[in-house]
Amino acid sequence: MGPGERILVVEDDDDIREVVEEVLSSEGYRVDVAKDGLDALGKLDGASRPPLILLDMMMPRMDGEAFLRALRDLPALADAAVVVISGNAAVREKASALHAAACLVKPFELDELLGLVRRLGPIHRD
Amino acid sequence: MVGSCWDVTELIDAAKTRERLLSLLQATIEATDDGMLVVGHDRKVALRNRRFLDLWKIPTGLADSKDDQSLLSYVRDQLENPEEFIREVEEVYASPEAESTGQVRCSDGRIFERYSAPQRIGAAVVGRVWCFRDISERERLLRSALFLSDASRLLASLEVEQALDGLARIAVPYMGDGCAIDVFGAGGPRRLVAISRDPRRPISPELHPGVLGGHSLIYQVGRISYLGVPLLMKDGLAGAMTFAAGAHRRYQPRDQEVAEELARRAALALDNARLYRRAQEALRARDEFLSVAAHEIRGPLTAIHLAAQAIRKGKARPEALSNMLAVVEREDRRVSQFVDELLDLGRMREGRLQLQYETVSLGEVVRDVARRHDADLIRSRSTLSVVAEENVVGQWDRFRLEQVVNNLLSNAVKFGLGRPIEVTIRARPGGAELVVQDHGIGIEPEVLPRLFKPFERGVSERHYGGLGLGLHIVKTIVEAMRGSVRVESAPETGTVFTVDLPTGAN
Repeated sequence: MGPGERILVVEDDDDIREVVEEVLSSEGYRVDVAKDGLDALGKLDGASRPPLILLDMMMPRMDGEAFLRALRDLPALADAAVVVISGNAAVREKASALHAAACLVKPFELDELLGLVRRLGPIHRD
Repeated sequence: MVGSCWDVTELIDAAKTRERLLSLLQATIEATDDGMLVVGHDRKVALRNRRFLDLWKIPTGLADSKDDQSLLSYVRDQLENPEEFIREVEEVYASPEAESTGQVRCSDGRIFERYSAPQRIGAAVVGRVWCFRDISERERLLRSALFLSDASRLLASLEVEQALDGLARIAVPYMGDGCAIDVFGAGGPRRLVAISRDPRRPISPELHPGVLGGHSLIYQVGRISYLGVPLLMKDGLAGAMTFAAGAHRRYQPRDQEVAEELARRAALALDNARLYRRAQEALRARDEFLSVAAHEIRGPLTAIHLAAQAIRKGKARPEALSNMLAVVEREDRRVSQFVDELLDLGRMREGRLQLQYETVSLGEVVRDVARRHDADLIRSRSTLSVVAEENVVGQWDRFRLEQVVNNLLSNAVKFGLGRPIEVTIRARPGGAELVVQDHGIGIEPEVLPRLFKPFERGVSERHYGGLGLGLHIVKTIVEAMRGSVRVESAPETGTVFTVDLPTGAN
């Protein structure tokens, strides 16, 4: 795992998105951000290799679940690793049904986030 | 000359005894409420009391004829089922030893209980005693008690409309040939059910104005007798029941009593169902509020948590440090605002909102609050224009007025889709007008009526942040300052909030 891997952060809360983007960038990852599911689909348009997606579940316009449904319909991206993030602890039970690689319950630790990204980053999967 | 002497003392004594016994017998049978008739072997009337004649409406001349057959044929005309009665009587006469009881229904609605027993001298049967007791009132009370108890059983259900439907069905034929029930909602009266005994002749009685005025009454339209009762709840009319009867029946005050009792129980059921629904809604709103509050507090906590750890662990680039600190500051403010809103809600619910009146310029307040939204406006890409008439000042509570402007501006930014936001301030005779207009997502028409209620929001709580208290707080503050707030909105077009405030204190 190292610099150059793409990560897509999908989060409607401006401040959380900003902090996560900053932390991952400072670790050397290439980070894309999106403020909701619809925005995220636009960012993925034309991507050939799936990035690691950090996905908040509660968002306006297109929420996490709707985004996942749309994502799984895209042949190139259907098996992208997704970490689902929610303030609701019930997301732990939901994560496997959503075929998520992992889940984070807000508020989570920075190390927890970095650990997950290291473990699930594309380089490990190849 | 022959003289004979008899001692008649015994005869005289016997005659006196007989007279006493007859008087005793007559007095006894006259003292009872039962109609009594004693018929001899020869089917001649041996004895009867006054009550018997009254019950069967027998004229004295006929009563004196002593002929059982002529009495029987007079009586048969008053019966609902004369053949059955005659058959029963003949069966009893055919078994001289038998005791017999039964019921006799008159065509005028009265019901008699019939008892018959042999009259004996020693072991020999010499005649037959007939007793008739008017049990119409007892039967009526029993039937209405049974009817009301069936109705109560139905009304115990929380599915009150279904229960009222069932009620209308059991009310026919007991309460008449037809029954209609109306319930009153926000849109006025709505006919819930109309049942007719004869499906080929459906009934649809109009609601009587008297019933709409809250009174029960009996009235007549053409050949139909009607009985209307309002369903009265603590806070007014909840509905009405109308019963209809064809030419054979005219409603009586006692029918009205039963109908009123029925209406009282139905209204109670409506009230219970409404309370239950409200309790359920309150529970739902509370659960939703707790879930929203938890989510809303976890958001800022997560941002603060991550930013603080990033700074401490050196996981942010030096040039981003000030941004990280700004995040902490901003999110800290967000949490404080939630806490303030919650405390305000508590105060407002207990009526403890204290206003500090002073001379305040509305334009100044708007510009102050707008400055606090600068960063949010930049992030949302909306622009804000303020058009204010000079010197719009009044006696207001500055802090609370700031809260009103702040909540309206926050909403405009949050739901504004990055499009321009306009605030207009105008002087009005005796007051001031504040208009906040956005061109964002707008509000669905069905949401508008509950927009200002606490914990309600125009959008799904899963999509947009906020506790759902902002507009409730706006309305409460504005009304505390004797003003009003209204909203006009259309989905995808935007929303306009207009606040009217009187300029003088109190």
